[in-house]
Amino acid sequence: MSHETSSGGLGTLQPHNPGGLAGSAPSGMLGEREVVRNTGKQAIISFLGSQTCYSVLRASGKVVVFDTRIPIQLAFYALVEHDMQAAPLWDPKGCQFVGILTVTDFIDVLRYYRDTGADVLTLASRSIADIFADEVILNSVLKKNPPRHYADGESGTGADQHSAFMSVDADATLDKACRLLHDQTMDFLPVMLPSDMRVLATITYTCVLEHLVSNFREQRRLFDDTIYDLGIGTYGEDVVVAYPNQTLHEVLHTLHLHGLSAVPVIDETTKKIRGVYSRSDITFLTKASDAEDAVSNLNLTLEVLMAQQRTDVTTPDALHTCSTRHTLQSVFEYFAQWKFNRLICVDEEERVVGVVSARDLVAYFM
Amino acid sequence: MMGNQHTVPNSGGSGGSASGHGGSRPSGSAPVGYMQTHQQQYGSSSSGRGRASSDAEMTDMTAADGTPYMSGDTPIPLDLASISAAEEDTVPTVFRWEHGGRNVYITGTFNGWSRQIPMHRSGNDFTYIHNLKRGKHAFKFIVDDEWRFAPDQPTVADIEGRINNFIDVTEFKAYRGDKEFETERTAINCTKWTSASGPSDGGEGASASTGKKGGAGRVADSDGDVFGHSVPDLDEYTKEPPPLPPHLRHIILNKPPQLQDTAALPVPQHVALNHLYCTAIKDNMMVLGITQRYKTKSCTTVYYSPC
Repeated sequence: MSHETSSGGLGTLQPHNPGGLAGSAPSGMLGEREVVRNTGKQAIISFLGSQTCYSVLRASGKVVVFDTRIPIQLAFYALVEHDMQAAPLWDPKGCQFVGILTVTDFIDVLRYYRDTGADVLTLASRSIADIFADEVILNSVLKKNPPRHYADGESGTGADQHSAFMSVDADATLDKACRLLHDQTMDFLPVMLPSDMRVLATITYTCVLEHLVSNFREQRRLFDDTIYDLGIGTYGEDVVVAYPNQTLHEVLHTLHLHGLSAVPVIDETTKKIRGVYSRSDITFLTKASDAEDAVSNLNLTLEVLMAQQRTDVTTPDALHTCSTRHTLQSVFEYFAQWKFNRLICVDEEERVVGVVSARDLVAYFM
Repeated sequence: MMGNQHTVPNSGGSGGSASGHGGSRPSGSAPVGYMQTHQQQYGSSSSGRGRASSDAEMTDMTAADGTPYMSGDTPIPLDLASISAAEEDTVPTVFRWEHGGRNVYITGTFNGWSRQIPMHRSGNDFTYIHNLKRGKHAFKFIVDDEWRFAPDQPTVADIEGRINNFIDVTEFKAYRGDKEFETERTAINCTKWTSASGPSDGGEGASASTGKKGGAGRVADSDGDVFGHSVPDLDEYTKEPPPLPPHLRHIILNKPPQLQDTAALPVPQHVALNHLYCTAIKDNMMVLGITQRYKTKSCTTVYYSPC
């Protein structure tokens, strides 16, 4: 769950920067602040280097694994039933894990069926292995846009995500796990039992952040800078937004193009924030009676879809806002309470000025 | 019947003495060392090969390799000590009654026929564990106030013609892990054919009626498995399977999910670890679940597989 553009936007700071970055603060006061800031950052960096992936595992956790021979549609229903975002894929012939299936993969496959006009009823009989071996589907919708720093030369990186199985051992450091998530632009990283073919969990940036926050939320003084000053998140013109009258298909396409996991939805006239749409939102699928219906639901507008979103439970993808004045400390506190995947940064008029994802928060310490 | 005296042919002399080790083990603990055996040294007189008791024991050990409590015969543990050290040496032994009844008691030479000991019920079976002195022991069951012997276990008649069950724990060796067991088994398998009529207690095949399963002419194959002609006792295959232990009914995967963290499960009891759970087959798909432990944390894998 991340706002990928922000990974590239980390260094691209805003023109008017009240706090100032390293080197731009000659006064003694700011110098001291700089020291405190770096102390806090270093404390977390060394923490990430000393903790293992084992430490973020749940006391008792569940992993859903799919045999690649099962129909992709049933696999999707199973994910929904377990309310899980991702499941490792097991190839019984090769006796190995071969990839990860996520909710968004299935949505992408539906997008393919809509784009090509192929009979979606045939999807019911297609296995996971069949879909992932389909070059056409893989290259048109499943292949993630390569991250910016891979954009030149290594065009195969995105497709490899489904062919190569990336994982970390449970005794690897969190730092290593974060780097893998970051470098491979993955949302889910399987944690394996050392020297065994067993997935213990799939971890996300949110898992890592949760562990960080639970260990550091007390240390107020170290994180008194605002996230805006620290350059955490994506701001200004880099922020991609959507409008309520756009269709789901358009929005998913935009997300795919930019390699984003979610987008803030703003009112066209007032520019005020209306909500946030995540590509893993499956409301339109769960409302559908069959696959054909699901594909036609791609033509619904965000306005309609957001009215259907569940309000009885708060998901990590729900809308959470902050301002540019929020300190890292207060964001930690807020995260501890809500476990959000991203914050939408708004001004006094509730207009979107930036997006801060869990990924951005973790990436700051890498 | 309480004063019942028993003559055990070729008795090692300890037949009538009460055991000094009265403490029975909890029946649920199922020690690994306990093996099923067939007492063949007193087996049918038609046993053509007249095998030595050690041979018979070996057959039993191999047949029962790692599968305690599977056959109907009296299970006997194997003990580390050698025969020479038999004086203070006891052998924890499981007695079994598998022929129904509501209240089943056991008594025998091991307590001098002095007391009727209640047996533990497990499903439709009754068990009792006693540390027997090495040697031969006669015993009998009291099933709902009726004296009975188990037809599937070795029997012996006393001087008055009454039939009792009996057991010989003179020569049991303990199971000492697969490796030693394998070596030992190989060694004995090798000698089995060359010294088939070798040293014996002199009693085998000579006396006593035979147990149903101690059938005639049984020959062990190279793996020690025994084939026979005997028809299994009706009780053995018509009775209900043992009930599921109650603690296995708590399946953490069936607990309502936690809204905040859907991948979190309740912490399982350790007895639930390494058990395979499965759902009924639906849409041609079977779902398997297993909980395993890694260090102090548990991981439950839910596997969706076609069938």
